[in-house]
Amino acid sequence: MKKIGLLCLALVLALGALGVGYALWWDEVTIEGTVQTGTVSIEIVDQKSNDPAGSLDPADGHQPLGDGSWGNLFLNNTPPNASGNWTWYGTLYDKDVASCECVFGADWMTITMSGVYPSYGPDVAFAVQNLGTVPVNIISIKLSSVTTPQGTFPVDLDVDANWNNTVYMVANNGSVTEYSGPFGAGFDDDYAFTIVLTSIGGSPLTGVQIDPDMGVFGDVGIHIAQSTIQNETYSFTLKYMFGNWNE
Amino acid sequence: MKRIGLICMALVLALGTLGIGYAMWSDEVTIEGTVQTGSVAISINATSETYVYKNVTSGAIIMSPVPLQDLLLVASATTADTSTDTEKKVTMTFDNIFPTEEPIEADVVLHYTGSVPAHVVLLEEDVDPAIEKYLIQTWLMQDAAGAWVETDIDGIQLHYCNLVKLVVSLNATALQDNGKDAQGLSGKFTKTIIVHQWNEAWPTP
Repeated sequence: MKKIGLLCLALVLALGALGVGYALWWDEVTIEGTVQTGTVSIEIVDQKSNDPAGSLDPADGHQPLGDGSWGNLFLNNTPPNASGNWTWYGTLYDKDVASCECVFGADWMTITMSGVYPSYGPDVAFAVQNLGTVPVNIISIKLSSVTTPQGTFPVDLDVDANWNNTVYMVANNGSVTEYSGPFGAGFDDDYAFTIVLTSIGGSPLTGVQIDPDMGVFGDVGIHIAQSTIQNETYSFTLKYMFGNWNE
Repeated sequence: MKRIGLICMALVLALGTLGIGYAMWSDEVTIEGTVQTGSVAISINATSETYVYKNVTSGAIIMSPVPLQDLLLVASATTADTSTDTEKKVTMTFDNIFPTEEPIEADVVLHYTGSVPAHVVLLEEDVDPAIEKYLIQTWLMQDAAGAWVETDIDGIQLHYCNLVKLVVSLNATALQDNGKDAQGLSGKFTKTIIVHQWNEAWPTP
């Protein structure tokens, strides 16, 4: 009888131990997420020179350096139209002496001018397009360096100022001078060349917003000045900085 | 006559004998029982979302918890209850996220509906390495006054009607600092919250 009692006790304890494992009640919620970050991608998609090889030379260049300007453009923050539509209006010399050619990649553009002379006014128009997924704006446009026969000189100058007729005159010693007129004959005789950036509607490009797939038009005008040295190479670098539009 | 008398007497005795049976008094007590088991249960109570628009006229950024009309939708963080008959599930989707001053958030509120107090266990989550350093997950619990208070909910106890909230966003500073590396990323994350009765330990793997 005592043996049976012990067996029962062992059985009860064993069942009790099982109960500890089986007694846990529970419930659960699963949270799944997917994340996709956006992209900021601005690319140069088209360009046009006002003096490709084989065409008559432009005199003095874009306003206010000369009397030239571009027409038949696309509006800011609209899909870019083809550069074949862009038309240069301005005084031309009756000779084809110099030329201005341009090649570009997604985020660079090289303008090469050959056979230039004082009062020659080349200009290159270009379109940039927002190929990213986030609207952007133009944060800054800076002249970052100039190269003259005396060397290469770093510069840190905001140059988005054509809307108030400001141009940038580069001397042979690498100095850069802002100038806002008057623009009579010989205004930049003491300099090697003068740069002007223009914008549609005479408004600053800085702050212009570009939505995905849309574009903005810009151009860079140059006026070769009296102090340019013959048979030398000059160059300059402009940097356009774009950022997501809300910053 | 004598015989009739004997019969009557026998009848009376017989009836008397019967009376002994009929005279037994009785009483009883009935015991009834009802059993109502408790429950351990958590449910999806509410979700909220963020839509990021650009006003194409003014250029302003507009962040809204609801979809708006006549604006350019740029980014969104949405939450949907994608539960099935066998699984409670929330799906969050962060689309075209970029650095913003205010975080682009999605959140889910979970409601403890069980009658038995419970402990919370957060299972180890699965996050794609590409997005791990950008992901911000914050748990909050509603206090007695109804305010949301940031809480480390792993291991806390929940009682009937307690609310907890998970807020997920991407770290704008990290997105900004990592520039191009943070752009065009895609990844997934999964996390599981378990509630179990408070008086038992969750089995360790």
